This record gives sequence, structure tokens and C-alpha cells, in this order.
Amino acid sequence: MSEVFNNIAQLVTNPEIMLWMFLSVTVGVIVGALPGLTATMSIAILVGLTYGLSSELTFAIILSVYVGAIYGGSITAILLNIPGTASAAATALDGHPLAQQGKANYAIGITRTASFLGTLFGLMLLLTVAPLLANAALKFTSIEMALLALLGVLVSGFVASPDMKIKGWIAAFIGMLISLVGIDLLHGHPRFTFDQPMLMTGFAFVPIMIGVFGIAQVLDNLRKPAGSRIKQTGSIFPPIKDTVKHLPLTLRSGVIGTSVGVVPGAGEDMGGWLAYFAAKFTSKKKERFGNGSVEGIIAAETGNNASIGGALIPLLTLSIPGSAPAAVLLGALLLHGVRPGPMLMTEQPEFLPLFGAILFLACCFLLVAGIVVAKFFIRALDIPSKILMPMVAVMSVIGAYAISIRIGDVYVMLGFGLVFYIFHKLQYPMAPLVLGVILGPMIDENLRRAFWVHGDMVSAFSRPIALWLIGLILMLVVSQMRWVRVVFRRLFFKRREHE
Amino acid sequence: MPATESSNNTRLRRHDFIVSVIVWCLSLATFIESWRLTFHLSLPGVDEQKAWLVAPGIFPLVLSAGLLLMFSVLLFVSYKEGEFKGHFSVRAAQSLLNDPENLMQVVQISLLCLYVFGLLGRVHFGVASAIYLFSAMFAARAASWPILLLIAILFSALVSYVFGTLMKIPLP
Repeated sequence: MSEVFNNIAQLVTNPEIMLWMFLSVTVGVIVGALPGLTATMSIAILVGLTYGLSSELTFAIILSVYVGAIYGGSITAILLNIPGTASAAATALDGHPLAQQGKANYAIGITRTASFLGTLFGLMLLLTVAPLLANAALKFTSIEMALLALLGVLVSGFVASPDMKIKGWIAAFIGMLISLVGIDLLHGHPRFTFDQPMLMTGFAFVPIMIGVFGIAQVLDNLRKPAGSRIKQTGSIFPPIKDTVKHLPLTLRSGVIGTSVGVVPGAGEDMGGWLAYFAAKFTSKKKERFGNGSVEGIIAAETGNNASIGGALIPLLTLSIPGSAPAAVLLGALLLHGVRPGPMLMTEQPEFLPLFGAILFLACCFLLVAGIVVAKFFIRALDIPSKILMPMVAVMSVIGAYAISIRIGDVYVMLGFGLVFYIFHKLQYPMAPLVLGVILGPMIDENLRRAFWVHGDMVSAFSRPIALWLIGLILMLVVSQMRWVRVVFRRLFFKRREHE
Repeated sequence: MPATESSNNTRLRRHDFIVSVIVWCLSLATFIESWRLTFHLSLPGVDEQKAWLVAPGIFPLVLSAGLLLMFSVLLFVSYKEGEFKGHFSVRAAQSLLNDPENLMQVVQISLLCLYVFGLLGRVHFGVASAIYLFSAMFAARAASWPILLLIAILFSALVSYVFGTLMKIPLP
């Protein structure tokens, strides 16, 4: 730990690195806030652009953009109900209702603090118990990864549905089915392609995400007669007592976010969702969730930012990336001669403290850059929605196109946006659909790989962690069946009467 | 339950019913295709007895079966709560189209489709965006037309410059 502080002291005295880090965090926040421009894409671009720079400056820039982009998604999620990144979808559930109540400043302020604490928490775990956590993550084989991802999708369906819970799961199932269109990666067999070359590559999740959130928001706002502007009150600096009051929740969400981030492939999206679910499950004010719960946004933001540290643990100790941005980061590390893995600590002992110091400073810069960018974005709410929304539509087109430079993706964005607008009007939640599209291929591949390795279903599911996860999934599903609840209530009350 | 809330819920269930019927049929088609991809497919290097376990159709089969089941439940609930009598008449359809909010929605959707399918790729991105922005804002009666024209041109030029020239992000 003392080496980390030494590195921080060295970095702070280097004005060039400090300036680049501040600019990178700011760019990261802006990129994260714009729907379609993701952390993964920006890191991928930066890997090429920073090739000629020193390793220290390269990682300072890349990690700063990573931290900024994961937080940035929450700004548009709160202000416009359009998550900039998939990981901010859980934040939108309560963040946007808060903005509609005139508390956008407060929501942005408190999520910025939550993101800071979340990243810091993940970093602490990265520096202290990284090898231990990485070994625990290794116990997750294909079947556990598939079941964990399935649990994440089902949880988001359960949490996000404003009408019947079944609608959340329907959205999640449809999302997973959409993700399976294209060439199957295990056997190379086409699925649901109908011999159309365009369908062979399947659907990318970013255009779908922009379509279902962005287009729905645009159409919703343009159809209504102009309403009065909601005056945003309060400061962008949340009271310290509010942060202190929610510290236990922050810590718990940090543990969940980091633990989920450690599992390869799980990523920041699931970290945010599971932390949100745990917060709702344990809260005394459950009814506020979905209507502007402060606990909800704190849990979601702490969870997804803590996953950054979590995702870096298997990356640095086992050379297995925990999320998509971490996978691109692996490429940058290799390009600069850093070989992550069990030997990293012996071959390059100076690297982990430097990495920790950069991440810590990026967190600190986030507190400042978050204010600068948020103040600019909050002004967007002053623009009448009938002028702002067509602009959002144009930005959505750019976001959908920029990800793969394909006009087909813009068609996919609009097509899915219009189809799922009907579902949105019928109160189907869109977040589980997007999470289903992201995690569907991971569930499919891992499930079939597990069956292939074990040879049959029973032995695949009989591993202890798998059994535990199946138990949780069954509990979640069965608890939503009315007749089960009735039987449970009768049994419980009868027993109490007897007592 | 207050009267308005109850009528909104009834209307929601009626719409739920219509969508459920359509998606139930789509789920059935997906189920049949997944069945074919699971049980009528030979995979090289895989034991034929156990091929279905690792077949590309096994997960879609589970998902489409789940969807069929869930939509059946939704069909049942929405039919029970939907109070359908007299709601599939020509007059009901006419009143749906005469609603100014619905009409505005149709106009905005048409403009979006025209922008994406008609203008993008055929006209310069900045020009296409300016045309769309002006027409969408004008249709929504956002402000007087000279102001809207100015906003549309300035925003399209700014976006084209920032993304296309400054950030080097290719534009459609």
C-alpha cells in the first residue's frame, strides 16, 4: 500500500500526466453520457492513439477514460431517461423520476459521490485481496457463469417491471432470443437468419439499446402537448450527511459490484443491477424504488463503478478480463509489454502500485470533471423538449452508426426502437431486454459448453455453486407465482395461529 | 381503485391481449424453428444421442417455450381483465386515429423513417439532419419557423463539425 502512496506522490508532481488525466476523465464522462459511445469503444480507439506514448501516460489516459465513461452513462440516464451506457440502465429507473421531481442536481451529485466511493472500494479490494478473489472467481466454470448471467437478467426483469412482473421476464427472454440471431459461435451454425447475409452477424446491442431507450423517449416527448418546464432546484454538491447516512448501503453495493466484476464476462452492467436489487430487497422504503429512490441510484452507481476494480482483478492476476472494457485494456497492456497473470507481481512488481495510483487519481478527478460536465448537461433540461428531442434523435443516429460504421445498425436502431416502443407503451421494462441482448450469448455458449464437458445435464448442474445459483433462480421465479404465495401465507399464518 | 385508474388498467389489458396474441404466434414459430435446430440437426464430432444437449437450438428452445408459457398467462389475465365487449368496432378504430396525440405520433414516426431510410446515405449527413430537425420541430409546433430553421442549420453544422471533423468519427 505504501508503494501506491509513493506512486500517487510521484504522479501528482507531474503536471503533464495530471492534465492528461483530467482531460481524459472529462472526455470519458462526455463519451459515457452520449448514447452509443461506450467505454469499450473509447478505450479501443485510445489503444491505437496512445501507442507511441510512455506506458505510464498511456495507462493514465486509458484508465481515466474508463472510470469517466462508466460514470458518464448515469448523467443522461438521470436527465433524459436514456442511459449513456448499458451499466447505467439501473440508475435511470430512479434517477429520471428524481429529475422529473426537480431534483436532477441532487441526483447527479449523489451518483457522482457514489461512483467515486464505488471505484475506490473496488480499488481497495484490487490492491488488498486480488489473488484471493481471483482464485475464488476461478471456481466459476461455464455452468456457474451461465447461471449467474441468467440470474442477473431475471433479477433485472423482476426489479424493473412497473406493471406485472411477468412483463419484465418476457422482455428479458425476448432480449436473449434477439441476441441469438446469427452464426452460432460454438458450431458455426446459422440461427434464425433465413438465409439473409445481413442477419449472419446478428444484432449488436448498442443500436438496440439506443433504439429502445432513445427512440421511445423522443416519440413520447414529441406526442405530448408542451408541458411546463420542471424547475431544477438544489445544489450539485450533495450534503455530506446524506453520503454518511448511506455509507452502509454504499459499502454493501461496493462488495456486490466488486464480487460480480471479478466473475469473467459479468461486467459493470450486472454489478449495477444486482446491487440495485439487493438495495430494494433490504430497503425499508421499497415503495420508493422506481419512483425516485435515492437508495436505488446510490446502489446502482456504486455497484457498476465498483465492478471496475472487480473486473481488473482477474485481468491482472489471471489474464482473464472481467468485462468488455477490461478485455480491450488487456490488449493495451500486452501492447506495452505488460504481461498480466500470476507472474505479474514477481516479473513487474512496480506495475500494480502504479495501476492503483492511477485509478485512485482518476477517481479524484471524477469528482471535479463530473461537476464540469454535469453542469453543462443539466442545461439541456432548459431546452424545450420539442426542440431537444429531434436533436436526441440525430445524436442517436450518430451513436448507432459510429459503433461499427454500418448504416444497417441505424436501421436496426430505428426498427427495434419502433417495435419496442409499443412494448414500452404497454409498460414492458426495456432495461431487462437490453441486458438480455448483452448476456444472452454468454448464457447460451457457457450452458452448452458445460453440457458438452459434463456429458449430461444432471452432472453439469450438480456442482455446489451451480446448485446454490439454481436455488436462487428458482426462489426468484417461484416467489412470483400467486398460488405459491397463497400456500406459503396460509402455512405461515396457520403455524402462527397454532403457536 | 379509482375510476380513471381502473379504466386505464382495462385499456392496458386490452392492448396487452392484442400484442400477446401476435407475439404468442411469433414465439410458436420460434419454438418450431428451435425444435428443428435442436432435434433435427447432426453436428460433426458430436455423439448423435447427446447432440441435442449442445445443439444451437437448445437455448432458444427453452426461451421460446418460456415465452409461450408467459404469454399464455398474460393472454388469460388480459382477457379476464380487458372487458372486450364492443371494443373492436370501426368507431373505436376511428376515434383512435382522430386523437391528436396519436396523429402527432404517426407524423413523427413517418419523419423519423423518412430521415433514416430515405435521406441518410443519399444526401449529405448535415443536410439530411437539418431537414429532419426542421420538419420534426415544425410538426411539433416548437417555435416560429425562422427560429426553427436557424436551430436546425446551426445544430446540424455543429454536430457534423464536432463528430466528423474534430473527433474523426465517420458519419452516415
